[in-house]
Amino acid sequence: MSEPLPESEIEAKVIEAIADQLGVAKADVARTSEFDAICDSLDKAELMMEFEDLFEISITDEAATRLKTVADAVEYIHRTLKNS
Amino acid sequence: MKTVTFRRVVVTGIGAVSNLGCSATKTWEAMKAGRSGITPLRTFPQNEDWSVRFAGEIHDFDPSHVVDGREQKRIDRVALFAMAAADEAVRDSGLDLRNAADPYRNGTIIGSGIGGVLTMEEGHTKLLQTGPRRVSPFVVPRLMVNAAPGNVSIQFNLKGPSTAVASACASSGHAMGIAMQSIQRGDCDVMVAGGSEAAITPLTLSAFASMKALSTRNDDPANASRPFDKDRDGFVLSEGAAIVVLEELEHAKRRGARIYAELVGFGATGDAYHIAAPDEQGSGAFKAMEVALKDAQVDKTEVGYINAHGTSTPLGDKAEVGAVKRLFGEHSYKLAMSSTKSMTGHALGAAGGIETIPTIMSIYEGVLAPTINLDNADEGFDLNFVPNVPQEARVNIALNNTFGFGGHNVSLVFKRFA
Repeated sequence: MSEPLPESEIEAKVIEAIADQLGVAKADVARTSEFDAICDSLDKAELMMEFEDLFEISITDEAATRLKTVADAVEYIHRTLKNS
Repeated sequence: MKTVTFRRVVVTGIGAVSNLGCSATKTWEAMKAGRSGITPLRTFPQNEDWSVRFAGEIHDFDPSHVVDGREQKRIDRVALFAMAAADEAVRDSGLDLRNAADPYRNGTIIGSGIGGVLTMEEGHTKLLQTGPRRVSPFVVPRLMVNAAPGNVSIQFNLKGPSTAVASACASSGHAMGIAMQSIQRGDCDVMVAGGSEAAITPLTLSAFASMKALSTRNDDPANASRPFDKDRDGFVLSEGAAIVVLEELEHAKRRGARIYAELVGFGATGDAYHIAAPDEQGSGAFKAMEVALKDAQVDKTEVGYINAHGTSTPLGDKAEVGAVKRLFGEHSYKLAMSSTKSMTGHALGAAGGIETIPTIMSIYEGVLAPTINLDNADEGFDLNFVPNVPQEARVNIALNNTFGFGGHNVSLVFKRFA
């Protein structure tokens, strides 16, 4: 079994994916950024797909609803990878 | 009972994206130069199985000046074309629609024959490859046929009537005609109206080819679209958009707007005959022109120019020429009728919009755009088709014909503003 990605690396990848999809600078996306503030529901749905592809995990709709901030997403992905 | 007082409607702005150039100005200049926008196909690979390997693609379209990169991903090419054309048309009109005192007086109607078919095909491919959970949430807002007016209404804060029209290749004609009526009735003062199409896709091209509707002149794309010529063998699929700003006359006068022409007549009929073939007698086309002239309250002898539907199909051109000769009689030899599809190919739902440019400019500039590739007119085709080179003329009344699969016929009448 390979080592799970450290949380800092997950955070960097998540922020890069968000910046890329929303067409903003990485500096404009922080751990504290709320999805509702930086994108609409369609963007968020597509971002969840992007995270699924990126980390080869599955994010249920129920789980996605609970991810309010970038930190929520990073922690969720970290937890999921650790438990897999 | 509500009293309807008809108000006058004028054209105060024009915008376009076509394979002749990504603006109305460039498109018109190219038309006057008799340039073809048809080239070998580039957007997707084709092997010898493809009977048609050329089209009227737009190679240099960049919507960055109207939509940023993030938004571009959410919008299909068909709506991006419309937004770019609308941007040019509104700027051309000089109106500041975004800061309008009453945005409910401004609206939009934009036609498309097919809508976001590129998105539909890509979305379907993704579905088959990766399953339902990977289908993008942007598929629906991209593919819906009303995405163009929806996005344009947001672009310019247009809160009045906002809708799409889908009548195949007559879509632009219906859009502009209904927009005219909205202003005439007093529902609104300004309408951003026209059509858009971006349907040069594997599915669409192969389907039109299966219908034997397309020219197969693969060895000579620039000469493939040859309306009225005896060697014509079908239309050339193309893409693009054109938008006009229609404005109530007094509204335009108050702000000292430049007026290109007045839109005075709208005639619409249905063939009720065959879902894809034209009525060979052109009786629906005949009636659309007759109704439009009656609506415009102008005599047929006043008509100086007709921008024909003229798609370069054997049957369609014959029906239209026959209808014009029967309706105008002796006068059909005094007017001029050209098909600018000889240069642009057939942009389906956008065709009528793009062809509004040469129609209006025949009046405003006194130049008739040519029908290129007209080497030998077909038997009995003895009208002035403005063959191969532009002509100068003083035109007071000009018609713009558009006919679509489904048997939809529209004729619009433009008049010199005086």
